[in-house]
Amino acid sequence: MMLELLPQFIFNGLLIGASYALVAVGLTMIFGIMNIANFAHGEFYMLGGCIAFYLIDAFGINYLLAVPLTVVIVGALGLVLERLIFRRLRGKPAVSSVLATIGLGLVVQNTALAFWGPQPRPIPTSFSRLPVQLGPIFTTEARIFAVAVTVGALVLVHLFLNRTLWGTAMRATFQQAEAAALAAIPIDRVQTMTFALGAALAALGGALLGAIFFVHPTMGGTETLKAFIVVILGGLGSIPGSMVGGLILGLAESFGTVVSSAYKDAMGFALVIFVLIYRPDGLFKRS
Amino acid sequence: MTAALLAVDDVSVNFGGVAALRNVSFAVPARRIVSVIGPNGAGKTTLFNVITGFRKPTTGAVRIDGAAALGLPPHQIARRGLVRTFQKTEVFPDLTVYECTRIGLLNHAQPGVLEVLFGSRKLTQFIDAAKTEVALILETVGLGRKAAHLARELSYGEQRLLEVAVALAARPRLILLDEPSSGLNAEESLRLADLIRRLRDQGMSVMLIEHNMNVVMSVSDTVVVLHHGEKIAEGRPADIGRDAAVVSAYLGRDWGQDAAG
Amino acid sequence: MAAWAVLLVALLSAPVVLGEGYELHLLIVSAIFVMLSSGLSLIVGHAGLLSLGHAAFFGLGAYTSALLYLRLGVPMWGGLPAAALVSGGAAYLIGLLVLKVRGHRFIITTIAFAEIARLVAVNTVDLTRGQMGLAGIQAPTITVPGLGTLDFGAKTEFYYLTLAFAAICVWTVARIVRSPIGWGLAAVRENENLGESVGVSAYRHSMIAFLVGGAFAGIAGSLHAHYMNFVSPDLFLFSYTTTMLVMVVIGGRTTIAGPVIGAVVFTFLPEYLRFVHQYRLIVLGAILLITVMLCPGGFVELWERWRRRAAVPAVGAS
Repeated sequence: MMLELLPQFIFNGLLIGASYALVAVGLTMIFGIMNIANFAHGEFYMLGGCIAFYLIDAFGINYLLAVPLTVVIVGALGLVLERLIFRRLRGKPAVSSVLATIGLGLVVQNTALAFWGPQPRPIPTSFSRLPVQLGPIFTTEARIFAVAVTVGALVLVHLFLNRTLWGTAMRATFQQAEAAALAAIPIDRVQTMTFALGAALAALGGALLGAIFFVHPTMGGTETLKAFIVVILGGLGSIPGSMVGGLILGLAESFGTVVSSAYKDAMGFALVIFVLIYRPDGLFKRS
Repeated sequence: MTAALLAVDDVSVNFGGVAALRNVSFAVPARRIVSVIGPNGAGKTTLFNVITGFRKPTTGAVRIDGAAALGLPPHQIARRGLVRTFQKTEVFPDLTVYECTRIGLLNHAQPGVLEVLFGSRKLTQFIDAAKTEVALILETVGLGRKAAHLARELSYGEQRLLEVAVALAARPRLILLDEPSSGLNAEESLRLADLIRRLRDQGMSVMLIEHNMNVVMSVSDTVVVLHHGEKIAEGRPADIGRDAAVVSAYLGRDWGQDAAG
Repeated sequence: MAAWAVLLVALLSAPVVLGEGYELHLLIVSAIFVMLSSGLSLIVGHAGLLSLGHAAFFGLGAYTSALLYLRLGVPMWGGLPAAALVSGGAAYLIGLLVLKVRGHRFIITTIAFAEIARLVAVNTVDLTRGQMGLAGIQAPTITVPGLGTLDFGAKTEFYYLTLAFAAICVWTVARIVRSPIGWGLAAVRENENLGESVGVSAYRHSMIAFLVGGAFAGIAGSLHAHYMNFVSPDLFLFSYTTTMLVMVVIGGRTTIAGPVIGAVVFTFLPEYLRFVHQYRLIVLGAILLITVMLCPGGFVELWERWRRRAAVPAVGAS
């Protein structure tokens, strides 16, 4: 019986994993370019879900329009936060940025709670709720949409970083901020863009997955934790690592539900501890 | 024949396909000043990192007083009497000059928690002696008047002196100085050379990574030359100046003429 | 020194002055948080290690004491030292694993341990009754021949008990910080490599901070269990750790008084802000954010800055 369900588990794992990858890529970019560990990053994911829900619920916008709108809104919010807060955290010791972002996370999460209440709700979409069969896999339109968009977004990010001028500038700043500054790359603007992009990607993940599962204002905290786990697995500062790490975590959780659905969340922690014992530098050696 | 204070035995370090050190061997006896010179990237700081436990070599051995020291963490190497400074000046930023220096004293005193909670005569004596010892060291390096200043408020040159003070507080038998004269002017370099000689006279050995040839020539008993991770020469300063391999690799004709003159 | 003496007198006379009302309850809760924040300050403040799973030690201590009482009838006098041992032991095991790494890996792993502990508490229903928690954990009584019976179920008696333990915790932290071990902790915090190069073992000092902090949290947990007569997996929540963290940071993370002040302020303040209970965490988060950005040394630094400015004589025409 298990073997028949294998493709199902893999598909579900990829779905969740790709969303983890989206969030983790943003986190790792922020760390790579600004050297800040953003413990509020999961809140962008949460805002993606909650704002998308709000746009549809309060204004009757179609889901397919609400998603890009949400991404733009949260990206803009990221821009503002970078200017107001994260810019001032640059150069400060690590302790400061961790504590400051924890504080920020508390503010965002509880403001959202005050505004929307704790009730988990799914984002209403115009997709049919009927199961769709793709070969051996049973899924829904919303899931297919989510997988397609997430994978598409990851591909776009990869292309952006490797084929465009801005992307190259970002990668240069990644490696050597001083050298990049000398090469007349506008560091400030690159950092602002990176932050906004990271926030937007996380929001996309939230908006997509919120239609499949639920959204609620407290979901950001767990997402932050998961994103950091992915980053530990894939190596801090490695974008390909985040993508692969996200998939690994998604698959591990998916297969973990076989063992026990209660401890599904613990799969990630178990992986981290395993990595710490056997491969303290992360799963992938940096060349 | 008694074992040398420090023996580096056929040490090689490879990372990421780059050979930072290749089969380097030499020894440092007691009461000697050994300078390690070579172009940038020759592997000098990597050598220091291997000796002091901050990096594991790919192959080879490091021996202190004849006993194997490989794989020991840096603080254990320090306990055996080898203390280093760093290429980029390192201090304890938010501590005062006095408090920074005092930390070096921990190299030879590790009280336990119970001893600290309930006190002991040994502990009280240690803490009382610490005050005079730190004052003495600060006088030696010339920072006596800055004892109450925060380390991050010091000038670059003063921070370098503080680094030496912290290292001296650890009572090294061999002190490894990584480019101690960088950033110092001619007069300060002279005082540094003088300090180094005084350390040897007090019984220490000194290993220097240096680019300032005046300092190297004036203090060294032995000079070791590294190039591309390999030791290409070892000998007295005057001999090194005449060694053809060294001259061609690093020093250039001008320097050779200075040494002879 | 004089300030501490005055404080001591005030604290000792509190039940007489305040009676057994709500304020005394808050003082008891504050005292428990003092143990948590002082212990955490050793790790986060003095050693500079961002250990964000401190609630794990708190919860472990609470459950140890609770289970020993409910399952084996062990009174708090046995439960409390057991809690200290279990939490201290957990700190040791976690330290073995986690003190090998630094940075975000360290932070996340410490968070992970608290989360794992919470999941275990929620899911081993046979043992812990899961999310419903364990109730009926009584405080002990002592019968002293000649003096009568002391019932620690009463607020006044329990207050003096917690006060005593809190004082012991603060005293221990102060002794450690002002000793050569404290110099070593500062070295680990300020520049770990430099410390190592002069013989300061970062591992040993970090482990000492972990063990002491963990054990104190365990004691706090046991006291909490026998005071509230109830434990639940919520004790492992990250929000508990955040609260302790705020107390340490805003009080002044490298001082002795800071965590104590932080514990008292952030126990009393939320209660008086009950009417804005919804916004309580928003305010807390904002305070944390602003403090870290503008005044990283917390209240104590603020106080020091004010004192220094007040001491500068007026500049006359020179």
